[in-house]
Amino acid sequence: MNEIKIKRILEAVPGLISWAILLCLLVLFIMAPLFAVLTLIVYLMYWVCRLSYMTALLLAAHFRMHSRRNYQWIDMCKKVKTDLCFNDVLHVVLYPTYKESKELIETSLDSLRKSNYPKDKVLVVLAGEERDVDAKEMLNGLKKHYLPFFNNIIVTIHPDNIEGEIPSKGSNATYAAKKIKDYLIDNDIRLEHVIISCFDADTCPDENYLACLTYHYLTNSKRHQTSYQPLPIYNNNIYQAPALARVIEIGSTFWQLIESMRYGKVITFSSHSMSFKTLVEVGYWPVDMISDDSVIFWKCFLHFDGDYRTYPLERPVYMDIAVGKNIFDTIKIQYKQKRRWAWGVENFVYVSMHFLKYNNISFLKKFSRIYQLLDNHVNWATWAIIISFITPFFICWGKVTSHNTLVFLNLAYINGIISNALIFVLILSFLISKYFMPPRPANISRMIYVSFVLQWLLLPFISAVLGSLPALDAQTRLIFGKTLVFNRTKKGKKRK
Amino acid sequence: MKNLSDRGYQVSQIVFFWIISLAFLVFTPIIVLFSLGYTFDGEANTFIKTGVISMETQPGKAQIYVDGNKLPDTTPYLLRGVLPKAQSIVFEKKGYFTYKTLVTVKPGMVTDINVALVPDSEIYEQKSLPFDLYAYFTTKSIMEEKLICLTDKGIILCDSKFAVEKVITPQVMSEVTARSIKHMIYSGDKLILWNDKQIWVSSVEEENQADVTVISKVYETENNIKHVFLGLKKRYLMIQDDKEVKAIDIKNYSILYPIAKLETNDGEIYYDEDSDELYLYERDVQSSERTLKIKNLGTNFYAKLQELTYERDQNKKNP
Repeated sequence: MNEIKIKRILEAVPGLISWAILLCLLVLFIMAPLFAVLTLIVYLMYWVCRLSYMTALLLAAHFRMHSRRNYQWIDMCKKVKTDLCFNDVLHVVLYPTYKESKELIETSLDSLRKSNYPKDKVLVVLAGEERDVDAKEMLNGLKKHYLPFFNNIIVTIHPDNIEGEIPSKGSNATYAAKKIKDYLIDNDIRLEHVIISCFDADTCPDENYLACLTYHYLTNSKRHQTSYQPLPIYNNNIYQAPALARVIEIGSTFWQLIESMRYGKVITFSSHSMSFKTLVEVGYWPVDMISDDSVIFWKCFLHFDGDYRTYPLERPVYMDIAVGKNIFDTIKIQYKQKRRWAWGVENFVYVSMHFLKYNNISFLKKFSRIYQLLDNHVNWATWAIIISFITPFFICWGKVTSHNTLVFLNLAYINGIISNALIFVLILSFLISKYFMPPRPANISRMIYVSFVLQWLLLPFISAVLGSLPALDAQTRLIFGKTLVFNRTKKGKKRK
Repeated sequence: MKNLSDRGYQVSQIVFFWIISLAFLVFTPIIVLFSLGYTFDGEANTFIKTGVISMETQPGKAQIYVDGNKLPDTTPYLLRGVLPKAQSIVFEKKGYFTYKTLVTVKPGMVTDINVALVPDSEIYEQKSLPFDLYAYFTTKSIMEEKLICLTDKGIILCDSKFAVEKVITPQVMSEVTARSIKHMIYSGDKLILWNDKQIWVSSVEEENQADVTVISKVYETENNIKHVFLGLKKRYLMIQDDKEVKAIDIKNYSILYPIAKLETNDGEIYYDEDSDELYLYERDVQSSERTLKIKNLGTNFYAKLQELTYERDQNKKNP
C-alpha cells in the first residue's frame, strides 16, 4: 500500500473513531436502549474519574507554579556551575507576524524590554510576510525604535509563494530561523549556546521568563533534547474582553496547566522555546502544516529516537484573548481558533507515518504516544456532545416515554452527581483563575469582579457549543481530505 | 505539596493516575450493578436484583411505613434496594386518613406510587366571610380558578380561598332565587346565570354618570332549561330546553329565534363554535333509532336572520 493511501487512512482514523462513538451511542439507543444507557453510565463514570484526575493535576500544577513564583531565577543562573556558562547563553526571541498592528508588537517588545534579563543577551527577530505590504516599513520602524535596548534586532520578510510551503506561522518562522543561523555563523556564535523562543506577536513574556528558561537550559544535562514550554496565560486584555471569551481562554490556560503535570507527555504548544542547535538539526519548523508548534516537538522526538521531552517552565507568557467586534464575532473567532488548535490532530498522521518507518523507538513508547494523541483528540471531539446533548436526550426520552426501568432513573441520578461535582470544579476554577488576574486598570470599575464570578455560569453553554464542535469539525474535514487555511487569529484589542 | 521537586510532582502525578484508575476499575462495575438494581445479599451470599419504589403524596411530608418499618424521611421519597416481592406501604400524616396499599416491586424497575391523601373530616378550619353566601360557582381565568359568589351583598368575584377581588354587581338576588341557580357562564364582561326555568344576564348601564352592572332576567319558560351556551360568534345566547333550541340576541333580548325543534325531550346537542354547526343526537319518533342531525347555522342562519329582521322592521313601519 503506498504512502499516500496510508496517509489518507490515518487522516480518517481520529474522525471516524469520534463519529463512531457518537453514532454508535445513538444507534445502540434505538436497538438496545438498556445497553446504551449502561454504556453511557460507564462513560460518565470514566468522566468523573478523569475529571477528578484533571482536578488533582490542576491543583498540583497551580501549587508548583505558585510555590516557585518568588524564585530569584537570575541569581540562580549566575550561581549555577555547569559546562555552559550563564554569560555564554544567547536568547533569540522570534516574533513571526502577519498583518499585526504596530501597537500589538510594541506591547510585546516593551514587555521583553522590561524583562530582568541582560538585554545584551537578547537578539530579537521580527519576521514579516511579503504578502503583508506594510510589514517591511512597520518592522523596520520598530527595529529603529527598539534597537538600543537589545543585542540586535533582525527583520526578515518571508517571500510569498515558495513551492512546498503553505502560508503559515511555521513557514515564516523557518525562513527567519535560517536567516538567524546565517547571522550566528557570521558572528561566530555557537549554535549550542543559543536558545530560540518562537512567540506569537501578542506574547508578553513574564519578567523572569528568560532567566527561568536559562536556568533550566543550563542545569539540564539533556538541554538539546528538551523543549521548554511556558504556561500561556491569556490576560493581556482580560478587563476588556467579553465574559464568554475570558472563560474560554482561561479554560485553555487550565488545560495547559493540567498538561504540564503529565510529565513525559507534554508537547509544545503555541509560544515555546528550544535549543537552536536542535532546531537546525531537525530541519526547523514544518512549512506545510498548520500545527507547527506541536509538530516541531515530534520532529525532535523522532530525531532523538524518542529521547526528547518538553519541560513545563514555572514562569508564564501573557497573551491576548481573541475577541471580535461584537459577541457573535467573538464566538466566530473563538470557534475558528479552537478549530485551528484542534487541527493538531494532523500530528497523529505525522507521528504514525513516521513511527511506521522508525525502528529505533520501542513499540511501547510508540503505542503510548499514539494512544495519547488519539485519546486527547477523540475525547476533545466527543465529551461535550455526549455530556451536554446525548445524556440529557437519553434522560428526557426516558421521562417522556415513562420508561420506568431503573437504569434510566439511575442515569439521571448519576448525571445529577456529575452536575454537582461540576459546581465544585467551577468554584475551584474561579479560585485558581484569581491568580492569573493582572492589576485592575484605574479606569475599569470594581463591578467587573462581579462579572468575573458570574462568568463561570457560562461554562456549560461554552463547553456544549465550543467544547467539542470545533474539534469534530477539524477531524471531519480531515476525513474528507480537506485542508485548513491558516487563519490568523485576530488580536490587538486595545489594552488599557 | 508546596515545595516538592519536579521528581516529587512526577511521582504525585503517577500516584494520582493509579489511584484514580483503580477507583474507576473498582467502582464502575459496582455502579453498573447498582444501576441495574443489583444488591449484595450478605445472608444468601449472592447478588439479588432489586427494584425501586418512588413515593409521592399530595400533600407531601407524609410519614412512610414499609412492611411496618418506619422510613427516616417523609414523602416524596425514593426507596432503593427493594426486594422483588409484595410490600405493604402506609402513608400517615396528621389531619389526613392513613393510606395503605400493597405493591409488588419488579426487579430492575421503578414502581411509582402517587397518592392523594384525604383530609380527616373532623378537622375544619373556620373561616369568616364578609357576606352571607347563597351560592357559588367556579370559573377559570388564565392562571387560576376564581369563584363567582351570589351573596347578600351582591354578586362578588373571589379567589379560590373566598378572598374578595371585586364586586361584579351590588344588585342582590333573593336567597331563594340565588340558591335555585344551577349553572353559570362568566366570560369577563358577561355573566349568565340560569336555573330550570329562567335565565339572567348581566349588562352595564349608566347610573348617575357611572357604569353599573345590573342582572336582568332575559328569558323564562315553562319547559325545563337543559343547556345554555354562547353561539354564532358569541353574539347569541343559545338555549336548549325539552322541546327546542332557541337563540337570543345578547344585545337585544327581545329578539328570539327558533333554531331547532327536538322531537323527544332526551335529545342531546353539541355545538361547534368554529364552524357554527349544531349537532342533534336524538331518538327518531317513528323508528325509535338514535340519529345524529347536523344543522349548519353559519350562512343559512345569518340569511334567515336578515330575512326575519327585515320582516320585523317592515312590520314596525307598517303596523
